[in-house]
Amino acid sequence: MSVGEIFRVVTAASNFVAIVPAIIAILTFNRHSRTQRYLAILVWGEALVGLCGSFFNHILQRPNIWLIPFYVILNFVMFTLIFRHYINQRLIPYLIAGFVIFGLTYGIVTNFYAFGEPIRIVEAGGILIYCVLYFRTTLRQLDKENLTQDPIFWISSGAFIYYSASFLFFVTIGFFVEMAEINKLVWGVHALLAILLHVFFFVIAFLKRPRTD
Amino acid sequence: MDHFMEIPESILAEPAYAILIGIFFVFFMATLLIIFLLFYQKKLLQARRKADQLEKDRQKELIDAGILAQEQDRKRMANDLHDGFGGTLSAIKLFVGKLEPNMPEEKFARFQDKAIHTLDENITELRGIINDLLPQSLEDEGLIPAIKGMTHQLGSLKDIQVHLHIENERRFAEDKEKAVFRILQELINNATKYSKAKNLNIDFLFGESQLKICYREDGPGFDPGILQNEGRPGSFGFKSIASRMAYLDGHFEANTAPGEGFQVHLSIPLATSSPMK
Repeated sequence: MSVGEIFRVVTAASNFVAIVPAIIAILTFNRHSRTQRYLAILVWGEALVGLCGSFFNHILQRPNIWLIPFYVILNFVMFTLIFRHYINQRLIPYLIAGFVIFGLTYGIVTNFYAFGEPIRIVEAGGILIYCVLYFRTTLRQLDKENLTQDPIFWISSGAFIYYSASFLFFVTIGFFVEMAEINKLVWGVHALLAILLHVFFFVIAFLKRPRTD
Repeated sequence: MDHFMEIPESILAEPAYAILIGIFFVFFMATLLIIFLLFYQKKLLQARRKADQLEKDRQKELIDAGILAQEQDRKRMANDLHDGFGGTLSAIKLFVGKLEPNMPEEKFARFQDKAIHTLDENITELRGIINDLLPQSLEDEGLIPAIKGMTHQLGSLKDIQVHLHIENERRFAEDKEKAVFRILQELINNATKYSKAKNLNIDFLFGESQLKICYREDGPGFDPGILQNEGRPGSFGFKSIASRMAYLDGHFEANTAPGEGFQVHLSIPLATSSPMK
């Protein structure tokens, strides 16, 4: 199997990458903390979008690009709720409402037929800021004895790695559109990053409920 | 077929590949940052634990010093009572025991005088001990009169000149006044016991929110390294002073060197000071 074929498989697999964490989240939902439950809702939403996208693309043979604004809104809202302790509480409703309006307006303006770089860039930037806020608070307060037992550490780490690389990817995606082979390669890389992010989510499902959450 | 092998070299130089490399670079940097953060947080935690332990040890040392200071006071009180009263009360008992109704009048008067004289000595001694324990002037008039009383007494008993310099005298919380008095008492006692100082200078500077005291003696001084451990050679050291200063929430610094005397600078916050009446 060539590298190109491997990347194609990886890209296809990434559509269903949320399914395993989503199933585990169903099984472990009751014993999980609020943060972990928000994450569960996120992976359920991602799994649903993945299944929906594949259904439209492969079975109905119709474009699934209209799902992007809804997917991005779901991501941003759930990450905002996950990082709620590290964000100014007064800002949370404005952040959520602002992003929902922004995402939907973008969808309407583009007739739900665009990849959605602007909303993805804002999403990635916002989530990166949340991660930085978490890391800063963690280093300042030093109230966590073992970071690897903290679900939000895994969420932040996965999100920080994924969104750092993806931010650059979303900013520069326009470069690749005209280059079919490179475009596939880049999407393959993005798919790998998405799989890695969900490996982090997968780990969280097995962590004990933190006492403070 | 490997698509990537077919890409001409000219394309590799295009911005798209540079961006791809950039994405990989960002990915690795982000991963490294997370790993660094994990280790750095552990290191910070260890440093904090170490600092907490040091603080606990310091607190324990201060508590121990407080308890030890109390024991020292009790011991001193016991010694004073024993030395001051033990012998003289026995002498009074002896004199009174020798008094007989039919003894010669002259002899009777001699024993009676001796008993009364020893009793007077005892009363003076008792006043001294009481004054040493808690000077009446400290409660009635405050720190400075009590220090003046103590140093006046010292000047008449020992060959030491005490020079007091006081600026903006005022009273402050009674418990704090007592603690400051004990600190100075400790320093002065140490000076009379261990140093060959001829002059003691004590400066009091009452500020708006704090009292600064500068204590200086012109003794022979000693190795400053000893201060780090037990304080002055042979003395109880600075532990009791440190304990009282911790209670006062103040700071102190001691300086000495062979041939250069001994100085202590105390800085005590005065939260509830009131102007001298």
